[in-house]
Amino acid sequence: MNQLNKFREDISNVFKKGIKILVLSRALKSISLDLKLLAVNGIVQAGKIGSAQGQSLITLSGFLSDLPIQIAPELEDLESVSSDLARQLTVTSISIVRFLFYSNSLSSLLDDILIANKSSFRSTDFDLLNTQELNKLSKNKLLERTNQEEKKNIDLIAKVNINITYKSMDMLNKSLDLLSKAEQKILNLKRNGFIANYMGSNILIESSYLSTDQQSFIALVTNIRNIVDRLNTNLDEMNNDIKAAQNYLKYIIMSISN
Amino acid sequence: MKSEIIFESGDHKWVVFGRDPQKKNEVIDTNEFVIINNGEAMILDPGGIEIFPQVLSEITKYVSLEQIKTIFASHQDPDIASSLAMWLDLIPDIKIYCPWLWTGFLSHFGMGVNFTLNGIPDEGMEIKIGNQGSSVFAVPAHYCHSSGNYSIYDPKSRILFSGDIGAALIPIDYPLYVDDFASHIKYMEKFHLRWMPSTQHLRSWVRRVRAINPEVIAPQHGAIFAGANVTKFLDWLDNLEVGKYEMGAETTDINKTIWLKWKK
Ligand SMILES: [Fe+2]
Ligand SMILES: [Fe+2]
Repeated sequence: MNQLNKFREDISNVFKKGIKILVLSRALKSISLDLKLLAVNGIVQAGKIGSAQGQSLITLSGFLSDLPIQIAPELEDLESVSSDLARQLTVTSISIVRFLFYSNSLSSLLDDILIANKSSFRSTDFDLLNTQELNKLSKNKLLERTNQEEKKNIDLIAKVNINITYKSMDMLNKSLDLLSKAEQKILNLKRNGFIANYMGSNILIESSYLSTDQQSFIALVTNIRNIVDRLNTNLDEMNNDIKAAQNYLKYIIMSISN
Repeated sequence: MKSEIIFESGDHKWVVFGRDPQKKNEVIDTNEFVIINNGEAMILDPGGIEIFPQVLSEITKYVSLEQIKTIFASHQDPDIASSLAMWLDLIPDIKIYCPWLWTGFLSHFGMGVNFTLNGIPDEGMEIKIGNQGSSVFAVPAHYCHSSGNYSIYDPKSRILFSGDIGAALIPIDYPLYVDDFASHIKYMEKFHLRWMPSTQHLRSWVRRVRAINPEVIAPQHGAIFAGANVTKFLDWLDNLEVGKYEMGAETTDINKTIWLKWKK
């Protein structure tokens, strides 16, 4: 596979990752809602007990029911970061697609010239992703016998691609920033998931002293753990996609920043 | 991509580009025309983005890119206009002319580039090829096939660029000029019956073109009409009833199987 095709594939992959991260961040909302419903359910159960133990269970369930409220802004942020990211990656990939079309034009122009000059070199002998090479392309030794007119045309196309490269570089870096932001949000959310599990364990301990109703608290905690598991699976998947997107972006930046 | 000079007199030249052997199969073959006057160039229907690299590199054989001053888009179709942003990004002071009716729609091909389009009014207009030198005329061709559509007449070469009128779906090795008109009909007929929506508007275009009396009619797909074939082509169009393509009663109605599925 040639360098330009690999480049195109990377762009398309990073674009897909961006969309997937957005979809995953939307799915988190339903998890948060489930957690809230469970906590409310816990308070109701504890209220029925009416002893001192009931009181501490109400307090614990209260903490738990506050969690979704606390993580709501984090979720909102994550969703907004993800949608900014998807938008940024869309704009970037459109500009990269333009870059690739110009690169193909340049390749075919160079090949025509090299063939006409009976040269044994071809456009694939140039690094058309490299801005430095693009900058001095018409002065390249392989194009010595090219006339001024053709050199002007080469320079014009190369110049557009240099401009697109700089702009894309900016956009790629912005995407990287957004990915780190999303990573941070995920970390915060994971911490909250850990707290929910911890609350669940405490509820379990407190309810073990109960002579009745113990069973419904066990069910409650099992449900909490299931939801936190779902949350963690979702966040881990997002993290993996973020890591993959970061790698693609770094590779893309590397191949055009010289 | 192949190219050929079809007219040359003094500093005035027409070049046709097309019959691209590198083009993907699913992409319809198109003819792009370039008028070069006084060293400045105008592209007629520059083509889709898929063939942009080939068109661009082939054009540089005839003209320096900075000398491309104008682009004309006969209508809004992607095989004509999806490359516009690429041209504009490369040569920012290029002037693009297209039907006023389609400016807002064509701007969707903007690809993030500064995208300014000059709308051609319904009655047509004079368009300068470059900054100095001669002009061509945008001749109304509405509903042939697009509802906002123009042909281009160049009085210097007496060539009329007809866009999709006269379009033919031909094999890739077909000659550039129509030889035997009668045997060329089979490549044009289906295209016209299906894509041209209005016999009335087609008749009025033929009337205008007879008055203009071009020596050559050059369509965006297929082969060029010259000499006696120009009249034969116009006569053929005058006898064509378009916009009546019938798919048979069974299928013009909603497909029965689909309908029954919806109704469930
Ligand atoms: Fe069309
Ligand atoms: Fe067309």
